[in-house]
Amino acid sequence: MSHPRPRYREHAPLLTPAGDALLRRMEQHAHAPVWDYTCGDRLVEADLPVLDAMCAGLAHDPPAGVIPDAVLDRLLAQRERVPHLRRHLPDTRDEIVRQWATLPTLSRDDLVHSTPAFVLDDADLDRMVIYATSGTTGHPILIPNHPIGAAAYQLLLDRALALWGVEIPKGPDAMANALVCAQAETIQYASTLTVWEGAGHVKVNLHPNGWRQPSDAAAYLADFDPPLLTGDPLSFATLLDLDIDLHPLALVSTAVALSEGLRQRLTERFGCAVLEWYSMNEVGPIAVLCPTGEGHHVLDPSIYVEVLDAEGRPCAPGERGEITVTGGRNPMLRLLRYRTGDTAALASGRCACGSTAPRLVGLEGRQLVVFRSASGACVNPVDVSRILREHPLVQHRLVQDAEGRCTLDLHAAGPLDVAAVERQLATLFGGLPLAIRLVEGFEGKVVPYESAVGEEPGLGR
Amino acid sequence: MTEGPPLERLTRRLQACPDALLHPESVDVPAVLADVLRDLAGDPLRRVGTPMLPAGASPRTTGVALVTAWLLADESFRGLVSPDAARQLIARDLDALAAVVSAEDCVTDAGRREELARFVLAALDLRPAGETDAQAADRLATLDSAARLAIVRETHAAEERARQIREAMARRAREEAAAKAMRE
Repeated sequence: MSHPRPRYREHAPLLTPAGDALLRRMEQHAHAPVWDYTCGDRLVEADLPVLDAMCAGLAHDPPAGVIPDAVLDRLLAQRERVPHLRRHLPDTRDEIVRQWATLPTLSRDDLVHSTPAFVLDDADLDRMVIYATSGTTGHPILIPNHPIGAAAYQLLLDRALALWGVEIPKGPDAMANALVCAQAETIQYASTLTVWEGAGHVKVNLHPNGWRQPSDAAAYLADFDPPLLTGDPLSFATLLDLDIDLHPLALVSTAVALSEGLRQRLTERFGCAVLEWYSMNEVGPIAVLCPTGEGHHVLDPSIYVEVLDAEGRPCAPGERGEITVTGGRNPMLRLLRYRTGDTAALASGRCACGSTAPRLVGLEGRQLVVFRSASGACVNPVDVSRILREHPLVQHRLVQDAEGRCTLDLHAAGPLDVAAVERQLATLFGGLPLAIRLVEGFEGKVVPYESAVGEEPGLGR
Repeated sequence: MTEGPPLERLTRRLQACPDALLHPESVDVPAVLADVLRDLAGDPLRRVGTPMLPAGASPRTTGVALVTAWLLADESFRGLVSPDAARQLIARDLDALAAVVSAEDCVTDAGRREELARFVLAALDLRPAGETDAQAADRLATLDSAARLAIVRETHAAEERARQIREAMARRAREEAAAKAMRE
């Protein structure tokens, strides 16, 4: 299926004739996936100077141990235009710095219940885009963002890759990136990316459900052979299984923790850099694995990363605590001291790789969880999230025991069609026993997914 | 007017008000207020009488009273303020202020912190250290009228803006997002 041009142009106003030709090649390829989504970068001419300035600001490492000037500048400039900042932020630079440790921190709950408090008074809501996420806590949440926030991912990917000595060829004559997924169901689209000079980008599902013929995924990806592959560890493990003839310059893993074992297997198989990337919809990219393997470097001077203890006090260097972020690259959300739920220790000083950027050591974020269906096939928790998002839920928790039995606890936000949830999950899990319990709420931090079945995918053979 | 404590000392104290005092439903309000009066009397055993809040005081007034009690517990008021003056302030004067200012605002908003501190000083016939009577009265008047106008405007505008944002989020959630090379 090819997208009618006028429709696609709404999604990519800066599409060039060369980009249009590339888009047609990607969409109309004989082995193309079953496209079911239209998605462009939505950038307009007026965004380009903003992105140029962003690029210039990325020339230097973020400073260590102090609030970056870029963060302070923006806080001061936006203090009167964001309800939460108006309420809590002192009105001078010196006072902000002096009182910083006493400023209130924010939790995901704050964001869920008071999203408008973090949006600029004069933000152009017509340019808002929404990403849905369930994060580490099982709270489904809609995160507003902006096309500039989405484009920032590409710019910061460039910076992360440069740290590893990799540069991705760009331009409207080739596909630069395939974002690969391995889920029973997900959207698939082809696009071009303005900040990568019109280079091609596709999101494709390695699951056979996404293709007309089972062999199409290998044929399609091998033909375009994109230099950059992005995806979660489960998708990369599936890529190993498929053994496609690919020659990437880099793999960038995201969403959940990438084990060192799988990273090594990917490095051996593809002979390229394999990076782990740490980002979240709320603030955008945060850090990337250091080439020495000793922690994750903060990528961006526009974000201030702190590590706090349970009482909200800054941890000493080397002491593990909760990663807390201020600023970042989401123009629709101006978060102040947002507690991510992920933990690490903070290290500073020049790293063996040469970077002077602050480093998160022992990062523990969302852990890779794999469920199994009745046939023994992997079930990606993302598929469970996709199903549960359709229902009015505050929080959920799904546990699969070693025998494959699933127990799903649901905290409903309203009338809930439990039979529908049961039916959808029964299809996903191939009819394995499933018990659904309605609960009034959860105590403390909720781990939304836990599984006791099987070994980590990608390491078994 | 008698010279009172420095204004900055009082606004800092308000900023440090414990979260617990912002939740009147979980606080023994008469006990807290009585403790403050005893402190001002300098006699922990003195009979000060309760309750001091008017019967049927609104939750907003109760909240502002608790924050005011926290302010009055500052050592700088000892010897300057009699328990009776404090009782009158809490029982009689706070309703008008609470109609336009919330307890939380009196803690988290710099302008409202200053307003409450000046309001309390004026009600106790004190002026901030280093200011003349005229300066103190003028500044309070400015803050007071600004607060009423600003709060009404801000509240209406904020509610309208929040509604627009939630509607935009719901609408945009049904539409396609922007392409990016990474997922979360």
